[in-house]
Amino acid sequence: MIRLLYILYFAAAAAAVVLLAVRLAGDRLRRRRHPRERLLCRYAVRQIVSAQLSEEAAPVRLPLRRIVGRRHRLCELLSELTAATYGLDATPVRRLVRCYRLDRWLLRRARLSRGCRRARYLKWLADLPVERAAAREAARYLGDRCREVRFCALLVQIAADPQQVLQSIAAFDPPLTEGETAEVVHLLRRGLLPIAYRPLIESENENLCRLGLAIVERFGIEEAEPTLLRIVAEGSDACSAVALRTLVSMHRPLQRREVTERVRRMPRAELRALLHLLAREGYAVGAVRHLFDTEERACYESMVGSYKRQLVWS
Amino acid sequence: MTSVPRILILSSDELLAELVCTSLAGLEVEIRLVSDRASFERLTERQVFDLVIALHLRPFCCGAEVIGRLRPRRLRRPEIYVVSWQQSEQAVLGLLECGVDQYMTFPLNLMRLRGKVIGALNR
Amino acid sequence: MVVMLCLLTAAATALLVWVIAAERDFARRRLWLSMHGARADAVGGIGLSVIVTEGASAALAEELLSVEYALYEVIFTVDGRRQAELLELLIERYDLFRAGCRPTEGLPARGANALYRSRKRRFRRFVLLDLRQADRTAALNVAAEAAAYDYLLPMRSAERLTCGAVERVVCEVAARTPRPAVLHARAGAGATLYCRTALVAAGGFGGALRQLKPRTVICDPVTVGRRPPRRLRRIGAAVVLATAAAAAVAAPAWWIGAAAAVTLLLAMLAVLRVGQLRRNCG
Repeated sequence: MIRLLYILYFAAAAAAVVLLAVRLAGDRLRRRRHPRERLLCRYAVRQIVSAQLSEEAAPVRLPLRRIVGRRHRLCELLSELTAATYGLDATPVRRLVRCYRLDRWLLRRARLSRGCRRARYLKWLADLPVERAAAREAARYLGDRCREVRFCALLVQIAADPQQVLQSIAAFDPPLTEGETAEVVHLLRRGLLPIAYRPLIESENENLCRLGLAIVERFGIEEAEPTLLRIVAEGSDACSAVALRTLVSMHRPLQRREVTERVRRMPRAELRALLHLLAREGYAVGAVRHLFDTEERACYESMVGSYKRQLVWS
Repeated sequence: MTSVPRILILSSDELLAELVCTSLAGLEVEIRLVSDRASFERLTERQVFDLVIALHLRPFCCGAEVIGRLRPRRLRRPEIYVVSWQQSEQAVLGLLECGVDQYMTFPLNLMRLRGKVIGALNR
Repeated sequence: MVVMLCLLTAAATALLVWVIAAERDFARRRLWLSMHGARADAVGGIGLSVIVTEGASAALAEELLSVEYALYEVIFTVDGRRQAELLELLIERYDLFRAGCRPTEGLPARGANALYRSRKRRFRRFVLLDLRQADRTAALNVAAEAAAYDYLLPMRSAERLTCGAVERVVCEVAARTPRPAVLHARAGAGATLYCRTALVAAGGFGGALRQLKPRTVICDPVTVGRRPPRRLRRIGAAVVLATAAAAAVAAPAWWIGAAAAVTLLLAMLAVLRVGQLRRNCG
């Protein structure tokens, strides 16, 4: 019996050794191929971007036949190019997607993998010109167990149908994290999102409200101040904290009843974090004196003093 | 005989550097790419450039005296353009303070960049 | 025999769990690096203060200040009497002025002599503390008092940040509700990130840090130390292989020797694979 257990253990451990050895060897081979692939990728960038900038509709021919994992490399490349540029003609990329059937390949890879690997394939799919059929197939991942997969599936829906972006974001559950909000705001810079902030920050939906606040902060929209103050006073804890941070980052005056009441409700830890934020943003002691008690005021004076030149020291 | 304008592109990311190079295709310029500090120092010792495009903030924010190396005679030439992902106001002001002429962010409009480069070289 | 089998199984299971966790976190890292939101904006107002108490140098300052994340600062602590040249060099290079230095959080912070900040906006992320006769804990507490951001990352001598490490940990922190008080990075040199407010509540470095909750563990390197020289690595591999061969030969029965040898090989390959993931940056 013990002998049998040992043999079973030996077989399982040997299988693990073989798998690890294969991954190690695969990675080493990839590193060895890397310099040649780097050259081909640079050539590919030149061809694709030249086609996008030219007015003729010439097809893009890429020498990828000899590259192992060519579709993987091409998707990675196109994703980087899409993220780094805007305003270019998407036709050459659309042709490449059709020629190499990249959308089908990405959906197949997503189906066969799990977790963050699946999310990465979906992210690449979102960076390509997506057909509605592919987006419908990716929609099933909106209910995936892994949060990153759900978010990347949302990005695919946004890419396929930018008109429905707000509905897609509003329907996403649970609420977007700050990292996800930052990623969605990045879509705005690529021209995939409307910049109209007002309906977003006035929305009851937390995702849309957070997105609106991020847009207000990013663009320093001072005319949103009354709405920000309303959110500080009446919004959920998460949204009111973000709204207060947005007001501070825009250097708006804080002598407001809504701000005073919100600060009064803050736990000590959050209050200390607010003091640090105010000191970083350069608020004078007098401008925020009314918000804090004696102890906090002394603490704030020390913080502000640490940003000023000390002329006399012991 | 007039010399061809020289453009230096600083970037450790080859794809981004190639992107910018391609956007300048067709212009009568000589483009040099450097990806690390040692190559940058060797090149700037031997050559003078008309325009520098850096695709990172770090050469200007880490204490390496890049501007001093590029503009040894404290002139405003060559013009220095920085393109980066960073959106923060402090970063932009810090760069302008140290003498950078233009700051652009990714995602980049390549036609706009090309227009700015043509304008800079005409000046 | 049964005990030996149990030990071998436990060792192999632990190694496999480690490798699987490292692969999973590597996939997560690649996903976050393919997203550009954290590169462009501060994520959720979350900032990071890197604290260097040992091995400070101008080259290290340059390297750490190369991080492009918006809400980030580097705090160096030097002993102004023993490292006077370094102090002068940093003051000159970063155009530093002496600022006020009074404790605000009530941590046990002794030895703070001066705090320096830069006049230049592009170097505002660099803070220099002149400490006298302060041990590592006191130096960390002084730096925690001076830190401006929510999370602190103490670094030890000869450690370096991996590429994209700051954006990576900020995204990890932002992805969790509630935000973790402590984030351990088990791979690489083993870094630990502390939430400043939780740290202050625990009494600073040297306080009850083990009781800080919630804790998050990632099997992805945030910092890496100096890699052992190639010769040493080869000697290590040779020792493991020789031990595996000896176990196979000297064991009372072939299946015991084979199991022990395979476990040693598994250990060696696991270390190599995690090292490979560590080097595959971005």
